[in-house]
Amino acid sequence: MNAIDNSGFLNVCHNCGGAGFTPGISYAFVAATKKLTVTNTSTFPAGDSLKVVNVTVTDRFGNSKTAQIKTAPVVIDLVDPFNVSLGFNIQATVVSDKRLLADLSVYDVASAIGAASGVLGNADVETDEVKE
Amino acid sequence: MEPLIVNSHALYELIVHPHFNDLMAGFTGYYNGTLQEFTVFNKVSLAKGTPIIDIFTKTNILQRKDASCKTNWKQIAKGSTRKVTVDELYGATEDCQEEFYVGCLKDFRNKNPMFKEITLNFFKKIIGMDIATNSYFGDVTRPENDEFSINKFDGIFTKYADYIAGEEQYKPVVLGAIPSTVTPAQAYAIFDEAFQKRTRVMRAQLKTDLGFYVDENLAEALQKYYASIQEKNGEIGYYVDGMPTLKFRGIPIYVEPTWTPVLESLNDGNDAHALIFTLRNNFIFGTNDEYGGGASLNQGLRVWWSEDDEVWRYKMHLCAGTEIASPQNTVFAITNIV
Repeated sequence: MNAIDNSGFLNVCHNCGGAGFTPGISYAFVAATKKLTVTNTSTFPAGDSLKVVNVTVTDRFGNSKTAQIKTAPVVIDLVDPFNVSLGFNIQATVVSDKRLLADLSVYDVASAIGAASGVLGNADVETDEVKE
Repeated sequence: MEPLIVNSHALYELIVHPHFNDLMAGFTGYYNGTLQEFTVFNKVSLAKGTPIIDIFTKTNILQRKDASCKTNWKQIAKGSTRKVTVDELYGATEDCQEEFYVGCLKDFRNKNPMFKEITLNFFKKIIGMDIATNSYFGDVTRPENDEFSINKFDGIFTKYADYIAGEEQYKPVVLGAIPSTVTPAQAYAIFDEAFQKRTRVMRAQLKTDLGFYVDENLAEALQKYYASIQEKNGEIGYYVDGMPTLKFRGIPIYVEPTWTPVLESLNDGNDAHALIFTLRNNFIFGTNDEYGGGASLNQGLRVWWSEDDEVWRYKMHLCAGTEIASPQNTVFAITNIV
C-alpha cells in the first residue's frame, strides 16, 4: 500500500505516449485437475495490438513452468514435479507489436491466503511510449 | 546477524563493470568473452531512458551563382533521436539448510561456510552469464528457453533486427544467410564479402578500430582455411585458451563464446553462425548504478539470514538495456533460424 496516493504523479513527464495502454491478465486455477488458465485482458492504443504475453508460474519449491499467450488464453498443467501444495506465483510480461511493455504478477495463488482465480496486479509498465 | 549488503554503486563496479571491462583477477574464471567490447552507459533514466542524439550531415550544398542579390538557404544536417532504455531485473534464491544437510550430507554440517560461499559465487556467476546471453540474444517476446536466459531484456541482435526493418539512415549492410554448415573456404568468402561491403565510415577507420564479432565455429573454419594456405602474414597470432587469435586483413576477430550454444539452442540443435563486422565499442550496455533494492533502494546485492523462515536468502537488483551507437556502420550476417 502506498502511504501517499501517487495516482496524480503517474503522468508527470514531458511526453507521455501510450494513452490507452492498460495491461491486464486474469487467471483461474482448478485444484481438482491442476489446470491453470491465463487470459489476456490488456487494451492497447489504436494501431497497436498484443504481440505476446510471457507467463511464468513458480511454486514454493523452485519449480517453474512457462507459456506464451499469442491470442487465445493458455492452459498450463501444474502436475508433478510442480508442487502446488503451498500455493504458487504467476508472473506475466505483456509486449505489444510496438514494444509497449508491462510486467504483472500475483503471489500465493491457491494457498491458504490466496485465491484460486482473479486478476494479476503490481503492473510495472516499462515502456508506455510507442516507438516511432 | 549482520546481513551482507553490497550497495548499488559497488555492485556496478564489482559485477556489472568487470563483465564489460577487463575481468578483475580472481573474480570469475567462468565467462571470458567479448562483453568488454560494450560501452557501458551508466545513469540511464529509469523512467524515460536516455536519448541518443544523431546528427546526419547532408552533402551537396554548393550552388552556382546567378546574377541576383537573392540567396537560396539550404539545410546542412538532419537530427534524429533514439533512446537507450533499461528494464528492472532481479535475481533471488534461498537456501534452507535443514533441507540440504540430510542423509550422507549430515556430516558436512560443519562445512556450512564453504557451501554458503559456493552458493554466493554461483549466484553471482549465473547472473553474469544471464547478463551476457541477454545482452546479445535477449528478446522479451521470446518463449522461455530451458538453458539460457534470452528473454529478460532486448539484446543486440533484437536491436539489429529492428534497424534492418527500419529507417534507411540506420540500416546496416546485410549479407546473404550463412549456411548451417560452413566449410573453411566458405568461411573465408563470408569474411571477404563483409570486408568488401564495409561502409565509407568503416573504410576511414584504423584496422584496430574495427572488429569482427563471430561465433566459435565460424572462427575455427577461418583458422582451418588459413592453416590450409599456410598463411604467414600475421593473420594468426598467439594461442590463447587453445584458440589462436585471428585477424582478417589486419582487423581483429573477436569470438563470443555464448553465441554457439545459444544459436544452436535457437536453431533446434543445428549449427548456426553469426557475424557482426562493425566499429569497436559500438554496442551499448545501459544501466544505472543508483538503482537498487532494500530499505533505501540502494542495495545491489543482499545476503541475509531470515529469522522467521530460518533460510539464507540472496537477492540481486539491477537494471539493464542495450542499444547500438552506430547501426548503419555494420555489416551483418546470420544463419536463417526459423
